[in-house]
Amino acid sequence: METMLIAKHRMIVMKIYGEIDHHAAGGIRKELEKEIKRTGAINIALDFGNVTFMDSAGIGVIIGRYKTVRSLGGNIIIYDASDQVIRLLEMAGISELVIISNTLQNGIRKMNSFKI
Amino acid sequence: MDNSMKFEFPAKSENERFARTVCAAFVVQLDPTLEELDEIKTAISEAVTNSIIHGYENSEGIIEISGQIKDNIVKYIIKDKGCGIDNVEKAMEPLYTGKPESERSGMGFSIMEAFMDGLEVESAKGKGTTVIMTKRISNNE
Repeated sequence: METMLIAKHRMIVMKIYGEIDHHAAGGIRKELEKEIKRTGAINIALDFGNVTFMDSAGIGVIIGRYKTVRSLGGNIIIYDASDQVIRLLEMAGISELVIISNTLQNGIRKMNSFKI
Repeated sequence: MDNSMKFEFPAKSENERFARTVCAAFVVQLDPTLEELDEIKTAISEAVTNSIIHGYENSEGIIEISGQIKDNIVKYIIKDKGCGIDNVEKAMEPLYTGKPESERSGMGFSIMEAFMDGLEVESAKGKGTTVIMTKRISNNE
């Protein structure tokens, strides 16, 4: 995974590679929490373009981070996710909580439209 | 079509990917769709993760998986000798998690149920857990 900060949007962008299961979930959780503390960001954008598999451990990580960013007044954007991932997000009801979009730009646009 | 397989491995999270990949490879002979393969991988991953986290509580143990194919139906049996489940019915309730502090979503059994055609759970406290899942593969015959 790679993370970067978009200071203008107080947003951590994380590019995730490969498969998100219970084994991978802990590392993603730690990295996101660390970066939020370090940078003072309140929003998280997750680039799912290179995620080839996800199970309920990924759901757990997203719900956990949702709680973190909501307590800070922020949002989560998930973009470029596969059909398999989107189906799971819908099953879990997460698609109601986070912003799902095809690109980061569209996700940010949606996020900002909520705030007006 | 008539086939079978069996393998076992230590209950380590590194092996979750190995287990679901082997199970997916086994069913390839029935020519499943990509969606069916994803469903099987996800269901196996949930069962194996349950054995690691809940069955063996992240300590040592062995997980055994066997598979059978008969006609166009695949069956997977995931077996651990861990602590077992006290109340199977309760454990299978959507969003129930035995470990609320560990950021588990409580969706494991719901996913197995949704993605497979049949799900049976045999367990008793101290006796380990066996999860039996079946799925009909919709090949164009």
